[in-house]
Amino acid sequence: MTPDDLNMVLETTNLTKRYGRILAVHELGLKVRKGEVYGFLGPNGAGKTTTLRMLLGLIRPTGGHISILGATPGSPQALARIGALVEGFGFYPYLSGRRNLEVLARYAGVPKERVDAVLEQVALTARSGDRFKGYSLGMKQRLGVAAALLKEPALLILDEPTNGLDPEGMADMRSLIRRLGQGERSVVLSSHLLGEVQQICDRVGVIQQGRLVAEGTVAELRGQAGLLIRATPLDKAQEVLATMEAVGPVETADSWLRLATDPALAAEINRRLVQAGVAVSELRLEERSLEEVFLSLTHLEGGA
Amino acid sequence: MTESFLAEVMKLRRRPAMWVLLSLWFAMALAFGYLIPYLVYQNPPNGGAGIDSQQLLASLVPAGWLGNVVGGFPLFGAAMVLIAGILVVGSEFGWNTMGTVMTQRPRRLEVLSGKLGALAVLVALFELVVFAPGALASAIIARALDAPVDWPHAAEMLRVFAGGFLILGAWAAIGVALAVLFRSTALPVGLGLVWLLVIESLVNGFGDQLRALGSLRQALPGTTGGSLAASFASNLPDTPGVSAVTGPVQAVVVLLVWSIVPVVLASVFLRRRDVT
Repeated sequence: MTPDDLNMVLETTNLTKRYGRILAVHELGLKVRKGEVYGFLGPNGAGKTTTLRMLLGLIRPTGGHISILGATPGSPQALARIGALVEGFGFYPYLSGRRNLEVLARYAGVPKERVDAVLEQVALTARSGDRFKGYSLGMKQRLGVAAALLKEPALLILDEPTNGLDPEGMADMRSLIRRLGQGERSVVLSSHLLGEVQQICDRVGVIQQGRLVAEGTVAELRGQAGLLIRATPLDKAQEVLATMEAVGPVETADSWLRLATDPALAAEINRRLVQAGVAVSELRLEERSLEEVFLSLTHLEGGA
Repeated sequence: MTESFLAEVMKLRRRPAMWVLLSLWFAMALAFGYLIPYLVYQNPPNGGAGIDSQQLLASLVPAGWLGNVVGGFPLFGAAMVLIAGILVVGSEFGWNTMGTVMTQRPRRLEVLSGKLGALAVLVALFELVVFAPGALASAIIARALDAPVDWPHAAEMLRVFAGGFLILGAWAAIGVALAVLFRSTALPVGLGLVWLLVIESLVNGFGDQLRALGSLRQALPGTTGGSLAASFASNLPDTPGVSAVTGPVQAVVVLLVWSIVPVVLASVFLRRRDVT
């Protein structure tokens, strides 16, 4: 067993779910390590919720294997250490937020005192006596997170937690998730919002049509950064850059030069160009956004 | 399982629909079991033609209390607990709380066991809310009419209470199975009531004319529930759903089957199906 294996809280191997002729999830291999916030990214209908439900034991896989916190999905051993907010999970409309949590605490076998603690954590104490059916969407989502936190879980599974929230609610929820992901706790965050994943997650898995098309840190997925230079005369600038060994391939696009090179060389490049009499009007870092990566991945996979 | 049971009780205690059902059942049992028969006894229509006053009186006083109350079980009581059984399980699908509950800690069958345990308590409560006021009403009527106050023996009370529990329990179990099967409340309630109020009546009605239906009705929960109730209420005036089609022993056996088979079916479906 490698140190990496010991650190793994969730691992799926060839995880597959088929509904008749529809392949919802296809041979998915996910790995989530202790203490990381893992972004599970994919367009609507890609198989994210189906995967999360399989991790929780709500849906039986057609094939493959899941190891979650060293146990089988849906087993009391696993569920005792998992908190989940999965799309479509509900609460009892006739009960208050607090009573809802008390019922769940009873099911989970956790002390009633935890209810006050989690209500405080999601800033819902003041409205906890109101009936759930009167809650706004944001309050419902926060109650969902509170329910997920009841067991002080080692692994938190959040499925589109900002869905339907207004911009302020989304910002609040993201900062809450960031706080929850600190320390030893692992968080799996499913989302179709790239910015959200980019802001919150340490590593990202991209799913498209039930297949994992990419996995890595946000930086890895975005690839190596490059430099963009606007200079005149352009051909002279190209000549100068060609003499610099550390500079990789140079592409020309309109009045721009695109360099796939280490951004740390920017100052040196600028100095050499100016010394050679080239006027540098702009020199900046070029990074692919996660959105561009995502679109290129999902477009390629979708079109394949 | 204890945690699941206690969680279920917490939910049921605060659920308005359950209190509505209990109140309605209480009101119906008192109105149709005591108030209306008492008014008929006091003011018989058409000069009392077609009414056996002595039989009516016998059902209203403490000696007839058990039979009078349990006579409402095969039809009215069955409908109430059928709905209760459906609501206890079916609403979890409608509110999407089944997934929430299933991801807490207990296994699926533990959750179901908790629900069945709480439902059993609820069924006992359904009995209590009609037996206790029925006893009071019968004592008041006996006092008002200067009739003897002869209470049944404790063993007889226990026997009727157990029989009533079996009649109601079978229908509550059927409700649970329908709710699990259809994963909702509206369709199971509709189907369950059509079965109880229409199909049972039709099969029972044609049972005397067609041998096949005659055999079938002896295996139905409504008819056998009515037979068991009839065995406790031999002096009861004509009561809907109460007639001795089978003997009490066969009725008990059939009702036990109707209590167990739906629970087994519900367990299999709940355990094997995906919670989506």
